[in-house]
Amino acid sequence: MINKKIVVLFALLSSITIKIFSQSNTLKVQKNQFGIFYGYNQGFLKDHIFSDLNYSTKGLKRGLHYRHLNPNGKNMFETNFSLEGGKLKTEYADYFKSAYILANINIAFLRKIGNVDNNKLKLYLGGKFKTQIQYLDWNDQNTFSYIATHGVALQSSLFYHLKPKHKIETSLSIPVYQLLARPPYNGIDNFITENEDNISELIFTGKPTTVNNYLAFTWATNYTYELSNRFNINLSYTLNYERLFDEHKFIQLQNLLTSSINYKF
Amino acid sequence: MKNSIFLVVLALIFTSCKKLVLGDEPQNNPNAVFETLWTDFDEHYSLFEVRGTNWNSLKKVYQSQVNITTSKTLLWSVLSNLIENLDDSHTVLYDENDSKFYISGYKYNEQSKLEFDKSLVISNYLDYHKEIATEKKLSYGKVKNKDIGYIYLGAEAGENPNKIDEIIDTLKNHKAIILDMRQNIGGDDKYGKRIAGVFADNEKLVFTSQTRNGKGHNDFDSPTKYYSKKQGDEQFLKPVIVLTDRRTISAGEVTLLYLKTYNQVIQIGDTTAGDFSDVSNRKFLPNGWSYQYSIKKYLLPNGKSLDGIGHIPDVYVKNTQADMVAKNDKVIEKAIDYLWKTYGIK
Repeated sequence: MINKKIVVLFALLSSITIKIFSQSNTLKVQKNQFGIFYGYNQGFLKDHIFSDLNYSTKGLKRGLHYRHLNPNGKNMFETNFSLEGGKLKTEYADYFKSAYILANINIAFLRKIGNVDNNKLKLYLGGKFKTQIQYLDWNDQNTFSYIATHGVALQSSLFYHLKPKHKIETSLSIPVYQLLARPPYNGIDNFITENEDNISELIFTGKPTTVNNYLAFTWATNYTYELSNRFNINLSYTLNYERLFDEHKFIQLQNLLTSSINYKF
Repeated sequence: MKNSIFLVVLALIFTSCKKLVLGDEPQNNPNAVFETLWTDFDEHYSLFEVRGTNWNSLKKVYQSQVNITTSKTLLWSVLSNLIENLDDSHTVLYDENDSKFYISGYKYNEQSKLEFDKSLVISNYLDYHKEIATEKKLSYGKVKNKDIGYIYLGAEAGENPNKIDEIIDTLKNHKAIILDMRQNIGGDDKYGKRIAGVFADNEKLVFTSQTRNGKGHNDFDSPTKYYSKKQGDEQFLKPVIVLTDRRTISAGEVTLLYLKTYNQVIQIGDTTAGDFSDVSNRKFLPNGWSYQYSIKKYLLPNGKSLDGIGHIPDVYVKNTQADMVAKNDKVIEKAIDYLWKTYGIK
């Protein structure tokens, strides 16, 4: 409940900020942008190591984002870090309500490969290093599972300037080669028992996997409003889908709505 | 119009059918509950071969007792009876809504609770008794009027097993130690290994552990080898009597695996529970019940398992409820007597 209030408060602050900064009409292009974002996720999850049951997920995401454009706007570097915490719920028993945390680090390098109408529409393509760690827990580790992926993804981003202060961006990224770490067949083995105090060993010891085994995509679309030369705000919708074709399958679909405020310099 | 379509698509994505995305899940009816539990055990439980259980034949016996109209009470009874055949107290069925659970093969363990009274040991058999603040199940003292130290280890759980070094430092001048592991409910194998290490007179292979990793009942990962190891500044190498009962279980029994490789250790009491394996994650059933089971097998260097057997004592003795009422602990008395008759320790 408190977290929902924070989301509402953040949205209100954003709208107030719009009014304060929306007086300026001419914008200077800044090459760096740093922002914070906050969002709400609603989705579904099934992890056969965790449970045979289907779960609904609700969680709150917060994170930091940085983007750099080189002087001619040809190359783009962006990175973001996010942390999400939430609840897993099955329709069968309230008692089975569980918790999850999800951490993401993305580092992308994109290159502009085309533009239309004097940069009104720009297309970037590139690659991304992505690491994602998700931990599921019921009743203080009476049941737990995790899935960690570290690897490269292909990403395309399309930018469209509606008006000088209004911009829409849509991007799609697809992981192509990952190091995948998951609990073994039976959820726990001697490796996990011996390394229970060494989390990094658990989440970075995995097997290579490609799209044949781990299929995922992240599609994000967002709207940006330029408040001033120094600030903009952003509303974003992200659809994240993951599916592991394993003996114990893992499927997750996330619908994420986020808002962010960014400082340009 | 375009905006409307976008909003509809967005709404559909948000409310899209969970089943469509995630696929089927077990149904909440007695047949499905039985099938879910039976199949999960069939694919993951580790001790069918070790304990000689024919899981397929048990399905035939018990599945016929379940149909779509089976009551909750009867289903509980059928599933309890099914897992009772495993005689494995790491296998438990839970109904949290009714605050009840059923532990497989627990009859003797339960009975043994009535055959031990720690306060009786403290009041009648010890000169003094000291608790360790951070280790709720680790305490020590001295046997009354004897040159014998006493340590109680009720679980392999606590914040700092290194505290055993301080205990050994206090008791090291006694001629023997009684290590009382009756009602030891287990915990962390590593904790037990650390405790046992202060009595180690050798470093050698003690056991191997393997986790089931496939659908075949004999599918296991490669064995992990566990060796005894000397722990602490100095080891207590004078006679050590370990007291056990039917509720000495799990990590308590693994601790005993280490202890029994040491030459100066004698086990007195009742046979232990015979449940060595680590337990699975709690598993969930669509009717709101849950369960857990064994997922590993522990083998001695000769390839044999003590699961379902337990540690058989060197000297068998057990208390009865009547002994407790009469304020007699025949087990600790036997240990004191053994030390006198065997080593002349008084």
